[in-house]
Amino acid sequence: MTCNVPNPEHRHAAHAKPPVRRARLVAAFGAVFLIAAAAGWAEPPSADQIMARVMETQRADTAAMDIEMTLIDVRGAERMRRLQTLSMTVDELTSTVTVFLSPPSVRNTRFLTVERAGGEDQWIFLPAVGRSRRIASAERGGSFMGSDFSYADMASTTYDTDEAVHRLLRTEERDGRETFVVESIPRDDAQYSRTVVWVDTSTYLPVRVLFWESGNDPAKELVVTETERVEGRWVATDVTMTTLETGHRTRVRTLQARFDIPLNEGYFTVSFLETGRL
Amino acid sequence: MARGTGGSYCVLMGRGLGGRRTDVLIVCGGVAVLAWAAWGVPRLHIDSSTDAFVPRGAEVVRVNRLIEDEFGVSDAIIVGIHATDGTILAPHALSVVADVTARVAAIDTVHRVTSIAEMDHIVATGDGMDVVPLFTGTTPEAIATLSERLDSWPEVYEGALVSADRSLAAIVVLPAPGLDAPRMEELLDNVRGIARGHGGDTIGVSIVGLPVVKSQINRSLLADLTLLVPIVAAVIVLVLFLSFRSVAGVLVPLAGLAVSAASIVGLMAVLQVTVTMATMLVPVLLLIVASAYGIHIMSHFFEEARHHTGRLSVSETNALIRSVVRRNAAPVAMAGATTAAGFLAQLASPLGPFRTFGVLSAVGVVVAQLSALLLIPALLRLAYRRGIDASAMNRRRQRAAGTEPRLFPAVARALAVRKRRLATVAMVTLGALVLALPHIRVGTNMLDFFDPRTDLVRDTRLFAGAMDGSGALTLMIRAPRRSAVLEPRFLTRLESFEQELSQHAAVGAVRSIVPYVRRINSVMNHAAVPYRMERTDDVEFDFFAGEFGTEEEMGPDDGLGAMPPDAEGAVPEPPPDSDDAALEPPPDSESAVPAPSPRAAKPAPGTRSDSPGVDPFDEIPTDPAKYGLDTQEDLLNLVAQFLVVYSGNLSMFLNDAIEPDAVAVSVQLRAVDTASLRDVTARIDDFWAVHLPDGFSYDIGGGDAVSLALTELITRSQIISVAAALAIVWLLVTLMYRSPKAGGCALIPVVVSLVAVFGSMAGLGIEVDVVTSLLAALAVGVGVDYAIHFISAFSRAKRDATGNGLMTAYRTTGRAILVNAASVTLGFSGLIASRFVPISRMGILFTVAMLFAAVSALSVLPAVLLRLGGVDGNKTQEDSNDV
Repeated sequence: MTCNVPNPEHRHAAHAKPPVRRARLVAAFGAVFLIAAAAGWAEPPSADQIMARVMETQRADTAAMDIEMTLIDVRGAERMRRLQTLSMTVDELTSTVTVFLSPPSVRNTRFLTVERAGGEDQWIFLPAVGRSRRIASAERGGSFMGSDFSYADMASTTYDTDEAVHRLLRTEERDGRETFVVESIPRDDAQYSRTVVWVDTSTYLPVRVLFWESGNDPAKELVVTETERVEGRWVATDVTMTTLETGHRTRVRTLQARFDIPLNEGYFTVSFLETGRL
Repeated sequence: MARGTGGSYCVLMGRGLGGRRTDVLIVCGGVAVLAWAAWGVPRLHIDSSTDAFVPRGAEVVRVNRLIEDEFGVSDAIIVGIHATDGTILAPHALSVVADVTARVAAIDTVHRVTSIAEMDHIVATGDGMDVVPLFTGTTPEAIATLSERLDSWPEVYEGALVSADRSLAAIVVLPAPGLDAPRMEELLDNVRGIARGHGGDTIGVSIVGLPVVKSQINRSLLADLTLLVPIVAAVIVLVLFLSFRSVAGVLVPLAGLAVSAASIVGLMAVLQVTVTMATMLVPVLLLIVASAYGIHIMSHFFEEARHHTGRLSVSETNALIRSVVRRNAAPVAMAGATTAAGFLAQLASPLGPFRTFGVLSAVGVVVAQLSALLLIPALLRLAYRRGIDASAMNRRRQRAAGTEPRLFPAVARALAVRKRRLATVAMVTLGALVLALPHIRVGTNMLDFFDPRTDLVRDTRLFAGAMDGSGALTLMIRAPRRSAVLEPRFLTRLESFEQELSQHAAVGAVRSIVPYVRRINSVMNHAAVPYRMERTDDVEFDFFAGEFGTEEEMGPDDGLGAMPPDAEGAVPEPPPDSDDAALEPPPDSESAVPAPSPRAAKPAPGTRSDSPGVDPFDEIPTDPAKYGLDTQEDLLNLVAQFLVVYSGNLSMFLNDAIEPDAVAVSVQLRAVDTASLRDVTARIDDFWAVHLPDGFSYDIGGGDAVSLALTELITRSQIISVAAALAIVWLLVTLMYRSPKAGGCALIPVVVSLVAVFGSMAGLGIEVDVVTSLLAALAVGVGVDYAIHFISAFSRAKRDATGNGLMTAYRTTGRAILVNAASVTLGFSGLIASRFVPISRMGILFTVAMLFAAVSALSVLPAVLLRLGGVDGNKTQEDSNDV
């Protein structure tokens, strides 16, 4: 920016500006400078800060969700699953229980995840069998109910700041929204060797995530097509995960959502999983 | 008509195109065509696999695409790791398997890799069941565990991933869907590089599978042709030189055939025509046809010069050349027209590459005609621009003639004096060949393209012996509604099918979802039948209907897992008898939360089995009561939930993890020859004709199914196109000579050559496949060519009333036929030495076709012409005295 400063020799010439007017000009320029700095010239947040905000946005002490999951094959044939989930976070450890309501062959199948220090445990209950089963960690990469989400994806599709090394790649406009583009490489062995997430700068919701497994090309892509403000927080209500190699995709729509509601802790027990009663 | 045509042609060829400048322009045009071909060669797209032959709209192509889309299954690359010192269950060998598996899986164009290092195993636990990695390391304990697990489930592991004697492990690599040929080749190179990098003293590496076979076909074909084509060309050059004893006698015909072949190569490059095993025969065919035209011109040229002595002036030389062109224009035109028309009969073929072959060959024949009637005379005029030393030429001819002065008179005498003996010999030979025809086999087994001593064939046979084979068919069975393929009654039929088909000698194994269901059922009932737990009715879930479990008392209407009234400890009424005939389709439940189904009382705990060693739960569950259930639908739900419990990857068997409406069954084959494939598919059809449930359907796909479909198409294609070619040739020649007798005579060398080719194939055990079937077209083209040239020469000699019509025809056209047949036969016989079987077979069959066409054109045809008195039917005393 160039300032049109008058020649000092002409300071007292007939066209010299009076002192009050000069001060106003300086103040105006200073304000412009400060606003510009705030808007664009300030340092963007670090990758860790961004991902911390992302996790914070998604964090709730309790949540209840009513979800419709639609599996779409490459020929366009659709298969629908309906499920409801409850989750509770205590001391930064989250437990989730999921109940399948349809299709009929798996109705009332129940799924429990309990996070503990250093890992998490998962159980599945099958009504026809009448027993629950613990799922081993090796299976976390397996497909969840035949969808394009793995069991690990069902827990989270983004990494917390202590779980991965994050790097801010750039900012980018996407579908009319400014986004931070953050690369995450997990510190420990994980299903994905690398993820890149596009984070909406205003809502701090991920709007797109690419997942790499072992090759150079991304294996899956998650795209958020709809977000809503529910009880004061932004929620991704329409999300699609695509397995890029095959073109198969899974669309998840959130039909109902409640956050920070009182929940009976008994839901997050193997007893409830097996009996269906508190 | 023939004379009129020739006359018009002569005027065109002789009058307007004689100046030196014109000749130079024509030659420059020929050079330009050669340059065009040189530009085009690197731009040619080559696909020498049989896939290029299958019509895109073919049913088997549709089925394969469906199988690939729904199950991710396609032709696999199989890497074999062989422990040469004994067992694969050793630290180093297992490390190799694990490392190769991991590195191949990391390749972008790989969809999935399955091996003992990348496989889930189902084990029983106190909780019921667990799915763990099959391979957990190379410590002694881990190897012992691995060995136990492999022993515990042989129907899944043995023959597919590890051999029964544990000396060989297989790594099954499924390429990403929709890979084009260059990327598949790149993938194969990557896999080869990774696998071979691990080979050593104690580890042998092999790579088999249909993609490997196809890739090797490309490489072998190109490598052999690159080596052999120059040899073939050299032999042809040698024969030409020995025949004509002059540089012009070699270079001039060579120039003509080079321009013809080059024009087609350039055309293929410009039009982006794929070079397939069919279209690569076009330049080869043109070598034969174009050389015939050129040799006819040269032979007549030298024969005309024979009548002169001393030195011919430039004008006399040009006049001689004009005379030669005039005499040959008509037969070249007619022969070319009928040959081209015969090739165009391939348009009736259902196979695209055959149609392309026909069109390109027809175009090439026209170019060869123009080359013979324009380029060759121009070259002759330039070569002899100072005139001809006829004496010197005649001296060279005398040396070259050799046995010829004796051969043709001997043949002519035999035709006159020993007609019956010659006829007998001809009939016996033909009869023997005809009798062999029913034994001819049709089939395209790509593995038979290779010498049995090659690594690929040896490794494939090793897999066929140690494992369950590397060939495969995929059976896709589709149900009329979702989940119906999980009905236990269908699964038991599938199990019976597996057991029955596995008995076939060509089948190594049949693999489906069945062993997984059985194992899960067995493991889940390992410690105790789990349904023995006392439990109550299902509850209806809707977390949003109440207050999320925080009410002090939960009433019956809160819908949060509350028990139904009066259900505490009570046994509900059993449901009405279910319909055993067929499962009712479950109600649509896309949005509503369905009502719970009532449950029967749990049966009292019982013993697992009265027969030691027999697991009563190693079965498809079919008896609801045995499992504490009520209906077949309950059993279906049980099976569906078993598969959810597995949570491993069963997508190669089911098109959906929860509500599949199709299953894929893999039939591993030890033998993939056409007879075995036909037999196996017939068995499949026979079984499901009886056992397929109402509303179900099935399709057979896989790479080997394509081979079978191709065989059927080839058979149909050749019957149609050969019949069409014969009809077209007869019709055209009849029209040209206005004589049905001429049409019939023209077919003599054609039919003899065809019978000889197919009879040789039957006798030598050569199958009619995509390459050899096109030799029928070659036989038609060459046979009619010889026939028309000879008929024209014979008719002309008779009209000239010089007497000795037959000898005249022999000395000109007969000699040309002999030189052409000798040069091509000797040249292509060099292909017999190829290690690539299709090229070797081509060499044999080319030789047979040319020999029999030439022999019949020079013996049987003249005998018939003499008998008929020519094609116009006016037999004279001269005809009888033609010796």
